[in-house]
Amino acid sequence: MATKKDAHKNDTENTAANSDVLREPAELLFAHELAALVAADKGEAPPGWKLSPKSVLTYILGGKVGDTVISPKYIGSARLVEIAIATLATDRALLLIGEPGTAKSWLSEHLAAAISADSQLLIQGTAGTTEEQIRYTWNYALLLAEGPSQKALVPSPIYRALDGGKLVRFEEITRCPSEVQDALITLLSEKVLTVPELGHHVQAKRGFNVIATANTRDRGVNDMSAALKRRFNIVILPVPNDLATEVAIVHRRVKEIGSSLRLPSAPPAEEAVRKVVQIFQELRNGQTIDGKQKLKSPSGVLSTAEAISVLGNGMALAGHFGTGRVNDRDIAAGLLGAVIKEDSRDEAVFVEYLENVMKKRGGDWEALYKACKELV
Amino acid sequence: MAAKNTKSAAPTDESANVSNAIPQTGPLAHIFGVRHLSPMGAWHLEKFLDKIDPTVVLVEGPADATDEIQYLIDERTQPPVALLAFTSKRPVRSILYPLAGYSPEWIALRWALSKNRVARFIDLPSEVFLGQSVAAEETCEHDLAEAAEEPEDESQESDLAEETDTARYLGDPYAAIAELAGEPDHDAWWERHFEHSTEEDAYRLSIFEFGKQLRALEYEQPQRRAQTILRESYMRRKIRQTIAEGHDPKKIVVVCGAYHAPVLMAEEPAMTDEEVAKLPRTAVTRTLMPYSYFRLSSQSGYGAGNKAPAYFQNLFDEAKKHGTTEGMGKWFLTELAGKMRAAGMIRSTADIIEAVRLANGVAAMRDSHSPTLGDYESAAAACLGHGDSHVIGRFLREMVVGDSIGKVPPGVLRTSIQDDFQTSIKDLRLEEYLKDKEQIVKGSTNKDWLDLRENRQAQSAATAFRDRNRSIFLHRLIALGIAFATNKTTAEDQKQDTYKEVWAARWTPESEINLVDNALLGDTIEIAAARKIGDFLAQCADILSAANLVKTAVLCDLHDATEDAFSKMQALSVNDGDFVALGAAALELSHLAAYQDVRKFDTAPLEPLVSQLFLRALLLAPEASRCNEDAARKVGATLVSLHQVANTFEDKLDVDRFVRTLDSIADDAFAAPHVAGVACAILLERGQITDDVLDQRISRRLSPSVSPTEGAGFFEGLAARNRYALLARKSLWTAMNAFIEALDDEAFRRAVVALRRAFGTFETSEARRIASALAEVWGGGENDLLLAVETKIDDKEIEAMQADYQDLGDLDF
Repeated sequence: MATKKDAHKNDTENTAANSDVLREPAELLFAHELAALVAADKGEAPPGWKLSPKSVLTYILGGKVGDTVISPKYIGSARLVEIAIATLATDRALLLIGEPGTAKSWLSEHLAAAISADSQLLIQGTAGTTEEQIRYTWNYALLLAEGPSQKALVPSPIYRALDGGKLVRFEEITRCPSEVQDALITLLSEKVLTVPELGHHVQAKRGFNVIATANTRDRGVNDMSAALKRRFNIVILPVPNDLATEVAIVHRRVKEIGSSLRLPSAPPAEEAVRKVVQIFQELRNGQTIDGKQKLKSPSGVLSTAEAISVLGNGMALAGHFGTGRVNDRDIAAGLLGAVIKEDSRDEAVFVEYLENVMKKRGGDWEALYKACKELV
Repeated sequence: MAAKNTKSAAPTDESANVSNAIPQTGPLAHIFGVRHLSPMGAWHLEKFLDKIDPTVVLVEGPADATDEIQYLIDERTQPPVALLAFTSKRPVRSILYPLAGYSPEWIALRWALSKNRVARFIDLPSEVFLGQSVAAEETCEHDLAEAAEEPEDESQESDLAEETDTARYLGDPYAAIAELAGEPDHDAWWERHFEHSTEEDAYRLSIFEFGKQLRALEYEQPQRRAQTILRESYMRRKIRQTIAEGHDPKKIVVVCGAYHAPVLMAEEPAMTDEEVAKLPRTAVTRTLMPYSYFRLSSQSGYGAGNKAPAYFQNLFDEAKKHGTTEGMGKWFLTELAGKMRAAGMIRSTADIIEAVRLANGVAAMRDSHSPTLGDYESAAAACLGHGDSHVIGRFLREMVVGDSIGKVPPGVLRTSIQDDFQTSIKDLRLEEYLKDKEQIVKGSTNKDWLDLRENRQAQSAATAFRDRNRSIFLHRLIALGIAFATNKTTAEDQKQDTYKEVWAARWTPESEINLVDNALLGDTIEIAAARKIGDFLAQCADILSAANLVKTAVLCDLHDATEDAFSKMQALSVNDGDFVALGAAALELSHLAAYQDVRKFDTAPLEPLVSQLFLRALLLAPEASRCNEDAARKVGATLVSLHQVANTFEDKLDVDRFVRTLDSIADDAFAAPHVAGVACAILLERGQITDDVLDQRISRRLSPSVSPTEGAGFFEGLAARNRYALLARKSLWTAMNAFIEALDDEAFRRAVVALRRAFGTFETSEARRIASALAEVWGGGENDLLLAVETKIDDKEIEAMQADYQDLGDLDF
């Protein structure tokens, strides 16, 4: 971390560009920011925390510490982030709920990076997640050879977090079967993990906590039990509703992606970002921005994250096969893929949008309209 | 201008020598700067008063309202209340000075009165305020912080051009401070820094410093600043006067807005006698009126308020009870969870504990002594609302704003119209609707409507006609423009039963102000309403609005006003040559006949007037019917109105003349075809036209030589009424057929617009009958035709037709 710190000057992109790792964890990507915050931190950090809650807030929302500019990681309601941090500072677990692509995982990663300096303790909830993955498993060769021993035990991320006093992230918790989710209840209330085979238990060190995320689209699949839900403070992350906020988010992320993937093209102009975000918002909300025209909404979610990927895609196309500058044709391809996913009715929705809204706008929309028209 | 209740009582105790920590206030007095409606200000002030034990308490408030202070101590007075001063001449202008139970001023005045000390207001008298003000409505703008929150009224907007350098640089200084501190708004900043500190004297000293710094900014607009300076020099004069009466400056406590605190010092000059004499004045009346939390909160139209009255009252009570506001979160969040439980949402004690901890955690992130309302709200959303703030919104509102309404003792209300209002409310059993919440008025039969008929089971006359009396009372309030009840009776209700009326009532302090606005009209609601209608009548210049006033007078049960309105109508009817207005007025009057029974309304004086209007309308009718196509619709509708009037007063009116008039219109070659059509339709309905004559007229109006629009217009008029009789008439359809067949393409296109309009109102069953009539004319199969009528044309065909008939505009096929 220290060597990296010298290598770059307030420039996030450099770190990513200099490393061979495809996607570096947040604590490495923003190591210099975290180091600056640690150095300047005057507040009292809760036991087990690397930073004071106030500095964590600055890290997430951006600001300036000394000469170091802290880039904003989450653009949106500061209040929600405060609640999230304050929750973690108490011993309550945090549950982030939102539509797909509302930066739940993104926020949880950065919270873990700032608070524990480790965002890698992660359980991905799937239909196949088992209780062992939450508690511990065994190295069966050793287990058979030597019998149960600490050496033969393979700790889960939660086990390691308990032991190290760190934050553990539980992604998409509602995708897990309910009985697996409920394995968390004792962990969260007693803060202890027992290993009956070895006759001992792991007491959670200070600093341990859980950040879970859940998707509103999965509601009703594996709803959390009331007993478990009660152990979480819930923060609902909203879909950005105003154009400016969402454009700011997308613009920033697209720039970061471009440099971390070393795409040989310049990031798209803000104008292009604005257009894509506007199309997304209009289709998502089922009406034009000015509220004058009603639209059909496609079946997909059209999240902010997808807008980011549409533009990222465009950059890749432009860089590798095009002029190096993102043009409307590069965007159109990605746009189509994002809107029309599986349902053929979505195609009709998009065509209607093209003809009734985009075409009539004319002007600087014309090129994008034509590019889309060619594809459908 | 000395106050009446000067009682220099308390012994001057030199030993209670509290050092005045405010620098340079000199020997003028102890100054305690506050924010109005600040619970901690009130709490600290009470302690300060106990410590200083002053002989006089001087409060920033209109000096001439000092006499009203005595009512504040009355046990029956319950805050929130407001001092209201209004001009004695019209147009009525008023200023309002609201006080809540947690206002520092309220606490100061109560303290003084309960200890038998002198309490006075020392700000410019309300007569000067109102003398100066040009704005229609002006709220009492005593507080610096309030002033910033007030919605800019018109007078202020006009000042905007003259904004100061500071204002240009900073914008609103209060918003700028909040932003610098990272708070969402000034209220949040204020609460965080001033409303939770219980350290001795911390409030007074820090607010003094705050006021001083604010003054240094010089952000006020010049006009406003001049006013502020005038007020401050007047306040200094009043303080000096109090000292001159022999009070020890060390035993005087002045309570004023923080903004004024730094300048109420000995070094600054007091207003001289000449300056006082020069102040503009106007005659005013003052009164104490009940106020409500809802109005105090920022939703109110009268700006001086704060957003969370119920919350602040509780904050004050909490501090008073425990000497600290630490327990506020426990109380607030437990109460909130309790309300949610009562509504069937299960919230555990553990949830509350977590919410309290979370609120403290969020506050700690801002290095705050204690969480603020915003912190509690966010914590409640996360823990009790499960992340969703909408879930808790409704309960929060109850707890933050509250629906309390103040009370003032009977006899304090200064205008007899207010007293009359209260008495009537009591007599009519409407007390329960004196709430700041819309409620449907329950009738005596316990239904959601008033039954205007006599209740035969009732014991006394008062109860037997209570609903009718209520209706009369509420109608009078509406006539006076007093916002209390709204008439929700729908045309449907009226059609079914004329005795049924639906009302929704909501009492607001504005109702009280409206009431006061009417004080000059009369001493009772009845007199004021009569006079108001009289005023309207004097201005009334056309027959229709006069007819409406007659109706209002009848609804308000004002006999004299009704008669006046009648004679006004009669006077107007002689000269009014507007056929349409005459017809509408006649119809309006005939509706009143329906009230004959339920309102005990004597229709006798109505009849001669109706017959006069009717006759006059008839005389004007032939001329009026020779109009252009646009006016024809109105004239046709008026003929229908007259027809209805004739039905209501069948035996009292000159119906024969009506029939003759219609006949002549129907026969008049110059009459608008539509009107002629309507005339024929009415004649047909009244059975006053023979088949031969009708057939002859139809074939003439629809003959091929007639222009297509005229023919169609006639048919439209004819089809406006009694279609049943028309449909069976084969001669009509034969004529129609011949008419349409003779049209060339161009003419048909024009005719189709009017025909389309006429046929558009037919229902399917009627269309079928037409189809069968036509089948007979054309000799074709009825079923084929029916099929054609009922088949919906598809989109393609519409497009084709629209292309063909572009010039017809967007017809709805």
